[in-house]
Amino acid sequence: MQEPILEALDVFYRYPDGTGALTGATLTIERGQKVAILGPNGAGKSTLFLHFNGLLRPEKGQIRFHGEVLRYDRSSLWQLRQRVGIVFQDPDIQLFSASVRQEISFGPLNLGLKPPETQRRVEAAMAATGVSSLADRPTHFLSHGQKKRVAIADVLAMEPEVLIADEPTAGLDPAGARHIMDLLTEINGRGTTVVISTHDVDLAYTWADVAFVMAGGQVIAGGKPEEVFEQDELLVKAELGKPWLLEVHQALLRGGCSGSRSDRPRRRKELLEMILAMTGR
Amino acid sequence: MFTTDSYAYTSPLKKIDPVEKGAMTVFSLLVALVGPAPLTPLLVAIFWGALTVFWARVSGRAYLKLYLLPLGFLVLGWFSLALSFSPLTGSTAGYEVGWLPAKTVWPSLGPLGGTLSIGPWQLYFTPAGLRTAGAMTARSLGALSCLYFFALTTPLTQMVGLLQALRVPTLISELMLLIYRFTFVLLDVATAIYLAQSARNGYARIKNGYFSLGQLVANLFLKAMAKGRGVFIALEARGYQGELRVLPERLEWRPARLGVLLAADVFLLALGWYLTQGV
Repeated sequence: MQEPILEALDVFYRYPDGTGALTGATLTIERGQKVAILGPNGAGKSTLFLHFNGLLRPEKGQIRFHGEVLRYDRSSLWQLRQRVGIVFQDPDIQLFSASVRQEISFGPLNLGLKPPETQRRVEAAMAATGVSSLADRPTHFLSHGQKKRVAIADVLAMEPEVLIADEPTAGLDPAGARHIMDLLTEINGRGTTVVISTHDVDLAYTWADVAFVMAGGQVIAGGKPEEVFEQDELLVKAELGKPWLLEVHQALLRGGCSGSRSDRPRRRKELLEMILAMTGR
Repeated sequence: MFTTDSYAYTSPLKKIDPVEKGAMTVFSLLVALVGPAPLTPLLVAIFWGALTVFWARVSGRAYLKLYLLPLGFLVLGWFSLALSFSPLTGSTAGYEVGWLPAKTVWPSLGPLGGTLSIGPWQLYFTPAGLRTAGAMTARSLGALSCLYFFALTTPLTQMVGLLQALRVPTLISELMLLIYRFTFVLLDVATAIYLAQSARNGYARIKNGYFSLGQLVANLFLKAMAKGRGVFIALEARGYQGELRVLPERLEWRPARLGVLLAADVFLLALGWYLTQGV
């Protein structure tokens, strides 16, 4: 189970205008996990993502995929990009085609797949993301939530081993955000490693197997969400709040309710059961 | 403006192969342009107008509204063809501005037969001019109805497919596709900037309106550049190899339908000829 699939080792990257986006970022993503990367704007999350897909090349340090250092020649990159897919934050940047079906077919065709296989994958990706009924619609007539789904279908149709989504819930209403996260959980259930970036600590806390915190171009913490979010100093440094589940749990313990510190609730339901157990005693 | 686009995308005729629709359009266009005017082109306009409204289910109101767009050109063109003018001859040269209701010149034109004189010039209609103007208007309407039919039933992606079938270089067809796509992105950005400026009274007075508009255009350009870079990165992330390959759409191609419509055009042509000869 513990098998690294993507690794960043002490990666440095500076943008052409001189801003240092990554200043020694190191992290390891295990195969099959749901990973959330948290941090304020400008922490380097998106820049790190672009490295995972070979779109940016580290000035110093390495990116490894399945333990092998990335190579940046044409054919290596082409192979990498069919195995690591990125869903961009702004779907308007990602969606170029005028019809949804054609849009989704772009990736598989670039992989050199034949039209029948492309067709199959496009239909499967549309079914998985729930956009089959939009197949013939032009992409600019879609709502923001629908565009996000199509953007995910775009990458899903390439059947990558790792699906990276840059702020998949940004700009969505709560129901839309929940649907997208359920969809990502489902994709993960089929064996795809899913990596997201987000500002939403509650969401990351409940959803992720592993959480990383970035600040100032570095990964300053990583591990199980309940352990990461226990560290108050860290959260202050990364300008993140504490997940409300943890906060309530800690308050209950401080208030004298019995229960163990290590028994932290991950979901609303778990916390409610805990409270009922405490008060029913 | 973009309603034409939504009609094309929701058209019940969307599935028809653009090659078929293109052939219909070009053939009817030729009929409207070479058939005896004004009758044949008017018949073409009525026939294709009816097809657009009843077969392609474009609302009649919206369809007529579309003709307002070229109406200005038509009116200007009509006047410039129908009106003749020449220097005023000796004896009547005393008038500054005057109207000669004379039936003397072209009695057949009735009230239009008069002459308007302005200073040393006179303006008047001639039967030949009116005929040419009428023919031109009829042909324009006929040609417009064919092109509107095509435009209102064919999404741009299919037009691009048609161009590719006609072996237009991919560079041009892909540029068309991207320009089309980004027209909408730019429109969104422009609307957002405009609203943001208006919210701070950017267009409250004419003078700062000009300034705001300049800012809008300049920023639109910068944002367009940034978006363009973003798009390129996103394309690369999906293995872009220098060609935007997508699955072709499933389209229906029915020679029989094409045959019937072409035959209808030929009939209109023949009818026009027959009736014109009869007059």
